[in-house]
Amino acid sequence: MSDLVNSGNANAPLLEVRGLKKYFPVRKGLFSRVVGQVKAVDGLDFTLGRGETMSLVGESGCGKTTAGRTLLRLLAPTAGQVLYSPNPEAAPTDIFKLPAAEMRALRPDLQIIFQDPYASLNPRMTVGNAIAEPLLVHKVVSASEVEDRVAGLLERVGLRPDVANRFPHEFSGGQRQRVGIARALALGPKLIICDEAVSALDVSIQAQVINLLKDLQDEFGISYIFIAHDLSVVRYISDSVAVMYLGRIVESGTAQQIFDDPQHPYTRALLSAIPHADPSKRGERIPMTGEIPSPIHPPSGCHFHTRCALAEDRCRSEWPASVALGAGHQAACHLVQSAGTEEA
Amino acid sequence: MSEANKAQGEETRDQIEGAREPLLELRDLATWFRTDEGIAKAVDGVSYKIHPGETLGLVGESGSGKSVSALSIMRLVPSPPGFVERGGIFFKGESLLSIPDEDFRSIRGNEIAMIFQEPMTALNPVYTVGDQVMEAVILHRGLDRAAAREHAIQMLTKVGIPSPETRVDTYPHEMSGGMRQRVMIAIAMSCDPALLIADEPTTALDVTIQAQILDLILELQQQAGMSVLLITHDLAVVAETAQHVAVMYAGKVVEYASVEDLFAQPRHPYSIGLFRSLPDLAKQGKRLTAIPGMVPSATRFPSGCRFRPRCSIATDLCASSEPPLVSLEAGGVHTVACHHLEEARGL
Repeated sequence: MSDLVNSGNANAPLLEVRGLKKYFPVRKGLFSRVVGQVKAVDGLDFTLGRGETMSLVGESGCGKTTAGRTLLRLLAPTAGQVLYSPNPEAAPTDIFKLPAAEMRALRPDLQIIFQDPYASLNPRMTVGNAIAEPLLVHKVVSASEVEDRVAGLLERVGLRPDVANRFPHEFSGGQRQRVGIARALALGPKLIICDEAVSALDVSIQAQVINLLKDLQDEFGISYIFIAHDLSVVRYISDSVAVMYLGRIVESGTAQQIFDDPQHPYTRALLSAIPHADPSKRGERIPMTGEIPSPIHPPSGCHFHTRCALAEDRCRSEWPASVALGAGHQAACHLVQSAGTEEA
Repeated sequence: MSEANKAQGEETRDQIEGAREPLLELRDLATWFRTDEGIAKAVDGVSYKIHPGETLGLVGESGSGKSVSALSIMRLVPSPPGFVERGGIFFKGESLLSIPDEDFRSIRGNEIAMIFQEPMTALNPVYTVGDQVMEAVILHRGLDRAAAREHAIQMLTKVGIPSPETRVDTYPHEMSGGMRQRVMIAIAMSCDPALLIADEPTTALDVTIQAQILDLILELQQQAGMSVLLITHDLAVVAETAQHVAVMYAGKVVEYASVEDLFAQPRHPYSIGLFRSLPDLAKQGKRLTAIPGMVPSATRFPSGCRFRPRCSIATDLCASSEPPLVSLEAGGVHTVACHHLEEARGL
């Protein structure tokens, strides 16, 4: 993995996340005494390149959504650094250390799109006003220019400008997601976190929205963090992928490395569970019993050992360190072989 | 295809499939809804058959009418505003639509059972899981509570719920989504139904849990020899589980085929478009071929072929006349409703 301590490097990543942690206290009793911690995100390290797409994947409860929200400080982080360098020539800033006012000034750069655009749009606000709101709050344009800007944004996401006067319930799911995208796009973001942004859409509409996201990336050089459980979409859209299990990254690499050459037993089981749109490939699954354990009492050692067919004694006692497998490809498993020999 | 050819094709198909009596047959079923904007023709002339032991995959996007056709079978369409305008539903040769409500209760949940997408809304939060699994056998099989409880524990074991003896006394909110769906399946299976209708049973679940649930349905199906009507928007799920597929669009079946034939070569422009939209079949980095536009509202279906406004090969003929479902070749199972099959080959 690239270990750039970056200053004045055009290849410097847009985002470098180190040791990201988010714990939630578990409270009990009359005085809400803290009796434990849910380690929802427990030490994530990854980098995101400019204009690239990284996906965080894993089952529900693995911490991928919490990770996305903590990155943007929508949740207060427990520990870690998020080094953000909008300008490759300048030294990066640690988002977690910024005072509130400076963080606010940075907000236009960092946007998020949610799964259910219906729940994230105010039902009493016309979509035109919903898109105009961030523009006015951040004083990007004057009140007189706002209408033109909103019309331009609606056109850019494939909606007719005259829909600005309509309310969210008058739109279909795909159209509402386009409104959500227009809203995220309004402030000229450098990074958009797409939290299950296409999961609720029908397949033909999903393809339209994915194409739109890709076009916007090409046009504006936006980086995406894609949080998704639909792995076929992830494979299609991502440059790099990090597979999470109970708050930790168990394997990361380029999309090709993860999908064509998965090394961690969890990644392999997860990928084999994807149904193929090809009846001749039926039933070639790696069985994985049970469900993701509760993050309040995660299993000792490697968190995955309770569901892993290959688990040994060592896996039950010792958390495996990440093993480098090749350029940018790493897995946290006692049983994978370091790629040292292959690489040499 | 000439008229004579077509008639012959259907005859041969009937001869082949007629050898086996279908378990369920929908004939030209139309289920409509009265709405403020007029009549919504959610299901408008749908025919399909399910044979004993078979899984039929019903695919289509939201609003295609796939769920309403299933709710019509179960007589769960809210009325008003919904009503069956025409057509028939035949189960084991008997017309379900002419059975009085009281008698239908001995079929629903007993011979035909249904599971839904969101088990949390389908389960009653104030009753234990055990109570809900027991309800059907007490009602339909006349078991007493003690025997029903034993049966419930057996069913929970069968669907792979760990420590069923204690789980039987827990409430739905104490379980994960995957476990709740297993409970739904236990309820549905408790009376050994001949037909299981599964409406998006795995859509709300993780892919790992989805695989477990699909395997479970398949396993129970093989043990009990039941038929499954699997409703899903996910073509990959159909590829994994079904023998036959009906593709629905705007209240109609536009293509029907064996799963192998459909996935090898979809013939209706809509089916072709659906497959093109799938990211898992696309090359990475290559643009997805999306179907332009969206599904029309059920109160304002276009004239003629309903896919016409989104179809790149539509002609005046498509606007003026509605294409019937016809067999591709004499005796073949594969049927398609399109005026321009030859042109569609070039898509």
